[in-house]
Amino acid sequence: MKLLEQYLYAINKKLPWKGREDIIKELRSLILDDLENRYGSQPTEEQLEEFIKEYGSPSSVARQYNSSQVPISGEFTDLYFLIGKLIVLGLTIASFTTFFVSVLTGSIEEGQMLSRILQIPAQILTGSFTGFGVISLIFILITRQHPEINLTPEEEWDLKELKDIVMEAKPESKASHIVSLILIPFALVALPYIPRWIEMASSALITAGVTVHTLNTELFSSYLWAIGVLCIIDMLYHILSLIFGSESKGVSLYSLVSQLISLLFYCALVSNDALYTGHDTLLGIKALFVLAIIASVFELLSRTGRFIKYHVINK
Amino acid sequence: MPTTLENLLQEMKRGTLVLSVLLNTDTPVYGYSMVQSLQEAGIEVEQNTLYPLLRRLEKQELVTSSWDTTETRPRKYYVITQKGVEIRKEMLKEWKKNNTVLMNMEDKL
Repeated sequence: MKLLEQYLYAINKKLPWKGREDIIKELRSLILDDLENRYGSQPTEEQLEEFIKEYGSPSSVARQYNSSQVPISGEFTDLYFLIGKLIVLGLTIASFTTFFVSVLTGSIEEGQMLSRILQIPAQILTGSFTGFGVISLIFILITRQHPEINLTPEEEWDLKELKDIVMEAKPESKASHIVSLILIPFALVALPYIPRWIEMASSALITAGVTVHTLNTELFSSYLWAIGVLCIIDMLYHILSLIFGSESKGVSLYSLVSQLISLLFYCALVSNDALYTGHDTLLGIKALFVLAIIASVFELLSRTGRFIKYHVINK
Repeated sequence: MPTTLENLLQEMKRGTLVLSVLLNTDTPVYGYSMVQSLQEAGIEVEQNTLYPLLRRLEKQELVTSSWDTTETRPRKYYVITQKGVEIRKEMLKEWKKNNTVLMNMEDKL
């Protein structure tokens, strides 16, 4: 029944945003009822193809659900989000380019570096709001003026196209990416204070009688820029995931590489004995880095597995 | 390419379909069984037309829906609302009136 899921997936893409999930759930149930009534509970691939051909192209099915009451017609959904993504992508590239040019030309003073880094997501966010506002207005006006517009004529419908569709497991939640994008700038701001906080935590534990090593904060401070870079790499991953989806090939590859870089960084932290002074024990900040290595390995394996599933096996 | 007659008949059917659906939702019914009962009653309706229509009627609060997940396959059942019953009554009244008018016109031919 993969073809049926691909068919529903294609319909889903052309439905109005609101109520998509419920429509697809109902359509699946209704189509399965009809299929069972016609061909029994185990229809062959050919019977399914015949059924889908008769049922109509994804566009024609979706069009029936596009009521004139929706602000933006389902016909425009894909185009609307494509333009929206391009706007966010353009703003991201422009913001980062401006930032790096400023860094390279030395036009950013030392004390302003952090605030300039924080300005990047703020610029992208405000620019995206404006961009989406403008295109929403344009598409609402087009929908009102031409509610019956059809961007995908029936002649273009070909069943073979369905079989080439690579489906995402389920529409991914964007919430985790948005939360990360909000939290990472805070982490960047807090970065210079981290050695001091670690020092305070170690002192508190030692005072409490726990045998822990202490951190060579002076040496650790020289690693802070690398942590900052890792944060920015991670931020870029969440931005790319929001634009292209975390399971798209490019983003998946990017996440694999970034996760590998994080893993190597944590390994470098753990293996540098000069970072840890006092008691020769794992207990202390080193233990946290070891936990980070373990978490990174699991994350790397999970991302590799997903990459193989979506881009090697499905391909 | 549909002929003029086909287009006109299509338009006429579309007008009566809402009333037909409202006449068949006194007990909870799901989309596919509705198609079958309408076809058995002699009303040819495409599934692609009926299912979105049910959702539109729901938006207009003429029917209400609920998912039944107790069976192997979840099904969405629709049932007419009080508002739907009142609208149906008025529509039927209008239908009968128009029918009488049309019959009278035909008698004069």
